Amino acid sequence: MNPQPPPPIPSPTHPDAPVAPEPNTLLGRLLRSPHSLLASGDDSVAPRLFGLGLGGSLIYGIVLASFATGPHWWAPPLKVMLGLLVSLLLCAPSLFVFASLSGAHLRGRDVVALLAGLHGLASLLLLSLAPVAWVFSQSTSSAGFIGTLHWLFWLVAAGFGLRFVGRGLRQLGANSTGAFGVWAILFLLVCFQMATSVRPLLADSDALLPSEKKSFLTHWNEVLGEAERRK
Amino acid sequence: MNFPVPAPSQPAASSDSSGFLGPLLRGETAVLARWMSKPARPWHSSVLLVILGAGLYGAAIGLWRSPLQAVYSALKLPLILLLTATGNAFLNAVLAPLLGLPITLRQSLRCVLAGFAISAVFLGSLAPIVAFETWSLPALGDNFGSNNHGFYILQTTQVAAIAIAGFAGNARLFQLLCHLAGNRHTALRVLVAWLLGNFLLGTQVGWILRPYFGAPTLPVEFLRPHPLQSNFFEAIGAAIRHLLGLA
Repeated sequence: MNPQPPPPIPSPTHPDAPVAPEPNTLLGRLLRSPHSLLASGDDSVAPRLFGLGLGGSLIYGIVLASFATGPHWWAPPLKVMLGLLVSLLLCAPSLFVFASLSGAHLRGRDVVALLAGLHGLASLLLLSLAPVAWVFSQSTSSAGFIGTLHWLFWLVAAGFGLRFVGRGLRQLGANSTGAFGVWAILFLLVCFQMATSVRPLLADSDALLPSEKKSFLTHWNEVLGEAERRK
Repeated sequence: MNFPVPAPSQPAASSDSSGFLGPLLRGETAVLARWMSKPARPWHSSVLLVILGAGLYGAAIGLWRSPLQAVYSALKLPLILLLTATGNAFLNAVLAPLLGLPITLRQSLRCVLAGFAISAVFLGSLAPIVAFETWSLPALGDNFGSNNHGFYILQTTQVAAIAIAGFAGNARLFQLLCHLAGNRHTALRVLVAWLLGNFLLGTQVGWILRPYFGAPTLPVEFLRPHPLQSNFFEAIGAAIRHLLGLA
């Protein structure tokens, strides 16, 4: 018997290796070559990314709401969707200033494009994590645990979104990352406070919005303390 | 934060189209130095940016107390910067040549205003976030003093914001002075001298024009009664004596 040699494994450097085509869909470009979205100068990209962001965050909000079934079960998806959008809007002016301080040459439309990318990419990540979040939300009654898990997922999603913004700023000429790092922390803090301001997102409650104003640190402290007492 | 010093060849071409704000924030010193030699426009631009930026920020912090306090603070914050710049204009113009930087009174005033404008724009860009913060934190109420967690958060974040704004403005001012002086040593001496003068006058102007947040136990008013009766440094001294149990 004359054994045949196994076929060669194609390597990226092999001349006959299939070359991955440049992605031409919005999702493909967002995931594989996000820089091309910014470089394209296509005015329709930002609205489509915002649309993706709104849809993704709305669906993730439905998963988040599935933890508790109060009379206002429909509210958390809307709160997540609008809360994220408002957080982005609140941070837009400071992104322009921080980016300019980093040396980036950007205009208002660049800020919109960067925020749209952050919104779209983070929401896409949240959407991909939604099945995992749903499984856990059906498997626990601890608001502390599921709340922590959701924040963890949000940090992962926001991390990728912020990376998109950071790379975009470099593309626009930013030559230091310090100012952008401060802005990224600021954005996350705004998101934390936004979630506290539009609570409850998880708990069964008769109230649609909180009657008492709190900082997110105070609120987390109380939620985690209550979870500890229940153990 | 690390604010880059741009290469001399980088800025000029792209900046004329993007107005005054972009080059100002990016620290495009060559462009700014050209603007300094032009007639009135940079002057007006800087003043306008100070009024807008510091005004928006003042409104955001005053909003925590009441809408009227927001209006007062929106007027007073730009006033601190503008009164400090004009009050020290002659001093700064005298100090600069004495320390090796031969610029005119008008140029020195424009330099200082450019630095203040950067700080004001930085603060103004944070105004939406601060307004959201003041809206979402517990309001100042009668229980002020016993349950003032929100006040401390607000106070701490404002101190951080103003410190970073001051740093950003002075970092850019230093770059501009380096460009004008041709060496860092002279620029640093002038910057430190200007900072000391502006600190001395700015803190006192700020003290006279208080309140900005507005204590809940006191009425909302543009100025406290007898605003010129004390000064910032005496108040700090009294607070330290109080903390040490000497008062």
